[in-house]
Amino acid sequence: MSFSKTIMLRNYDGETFVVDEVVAVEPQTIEHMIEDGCANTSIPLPNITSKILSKVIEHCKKHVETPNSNEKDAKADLKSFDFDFVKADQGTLFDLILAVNYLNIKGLLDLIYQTIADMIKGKTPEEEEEMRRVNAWVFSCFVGVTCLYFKSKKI
Amino acid sequence: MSCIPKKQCATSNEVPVLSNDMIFKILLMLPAKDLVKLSTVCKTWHKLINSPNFVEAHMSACEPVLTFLKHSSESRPNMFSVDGNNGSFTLFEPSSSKTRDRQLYSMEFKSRKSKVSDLNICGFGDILATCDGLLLATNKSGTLLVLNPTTRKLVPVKPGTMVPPHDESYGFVFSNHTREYKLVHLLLDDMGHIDSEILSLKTMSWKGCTVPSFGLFRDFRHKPVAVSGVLYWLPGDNDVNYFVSMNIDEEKFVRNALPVNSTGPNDRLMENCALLNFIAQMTVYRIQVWTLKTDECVGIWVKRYTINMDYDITGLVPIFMARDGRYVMFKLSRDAVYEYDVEEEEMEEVSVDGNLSFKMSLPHMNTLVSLENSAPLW
Repeated sequence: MSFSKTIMLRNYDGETFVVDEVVAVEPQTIEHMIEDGCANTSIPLPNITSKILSKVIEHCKKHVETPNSNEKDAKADLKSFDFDFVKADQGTLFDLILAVNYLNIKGLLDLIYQTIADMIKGKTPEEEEEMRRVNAWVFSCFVGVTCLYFKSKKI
Repeated sequence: MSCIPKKQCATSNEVPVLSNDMIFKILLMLPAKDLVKLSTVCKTWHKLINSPNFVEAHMSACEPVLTFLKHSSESRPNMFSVDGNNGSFTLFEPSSSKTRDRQLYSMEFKSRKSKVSDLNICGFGDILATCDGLLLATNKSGTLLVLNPTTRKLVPVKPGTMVPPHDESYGFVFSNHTREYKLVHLLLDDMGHIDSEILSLKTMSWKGCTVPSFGLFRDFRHKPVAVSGVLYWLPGDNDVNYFVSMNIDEEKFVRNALPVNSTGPNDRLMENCALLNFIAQMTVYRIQVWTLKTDECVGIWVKRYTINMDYDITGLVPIFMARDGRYVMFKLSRDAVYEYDVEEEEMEEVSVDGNLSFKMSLPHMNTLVSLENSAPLW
């Protein structure tokens, strides 16, 4: 393992994370950066905090380390890891979704989408209030995006 | 589209901004029933959920369910009836009559368990065909209608040539070429000849089409299966070595060879992964599954897999295949439902809540498809 290539990731807080290349290329964004030769010193990730970046690296590591076999044990283990991984509070989830979208990690992104979908799914009318609260942030995303769009167009 | 992150997280006022395609992908994972409710959250979501692209993307990710009619004499509140009698069809609360009524249910299967959902719609006569989540049915008064039980959108359909119910068969198919849903009505006229007519659900008018050649269909026991704009029929039971196909754009009935003879009443043609499959009982212990692959306009039957059990599996009627082809669901008369796992090669009984004593059931999908909403051509 000591001879495998490592990549340095420098994030928003200025912290540096050193990861094995095989883990670092899980995010497609980083893979492309390496291919394009932008990764000579360290890869800058200015929009991701340490907390989120370490979580993402943890997930990539786990998925890289688990052999891609069809063994039931390996699959079940990975499944329970994923299940615990997304048991985060809403704030962390939201930051995760943005980071993972930027880094372009398909598997993890789908997992988070599914988690949010499950939060919305199957609410009875009594839970409609709760759902609207959850959806308020999604709704305000649209409002936010629209406002930013108009702002940029100076309308 | 670049995301615009907000650094401060989880204070009650500040929320992150998600891009449209993220919301699209999240909503795509929800069942149609929830999406109908969610389309009322705000105008943007209403537009997104009802957009043809979303509806089509959602439909292509849908798992099949089983839909059936069952008698029920309970009159529950908020029940809708399709048996409107004032000419224009709307769903409304029926009068408090205690007569037994046929209600629509759907049964979905997950992890070897089944869940029956009451769709809260009564007043049915019979269910005839399904396509992309749309249901062709008759109401108690005998009127033909097309509805989506999830969105509750209902459209009456002008009836074609009237014949007794056992002398006709309906096919329901989507034409990719003309972007419209069509009905194919096969009927036995009083001379014993088979006639056919087609209705476009866009123009709502019936027209004749090339009649199937004499003797092509032995009976209408088998309902047609629609795959990518083509309808397929098994022409009868007992020693059948061909199947009939009809491309909805060409409107001609063609005789084609089956890979193996169909000898039993439980053999079925079935759609899966946009291909036609043939499920045939070969021996008491063996069922074969074949797929029709088209290679440069020529159809070739390929044996997909064989189900080999060490106990008697006659009496198993295939009902549908899971979207990815991993499972095949079978019904054993009125007793049980079985799920065959193709990868594990295991046949397991599915626990069913309620009983299976319904006569007519059709494979169905819970989608948001409506007649007005055909997806745009790419």
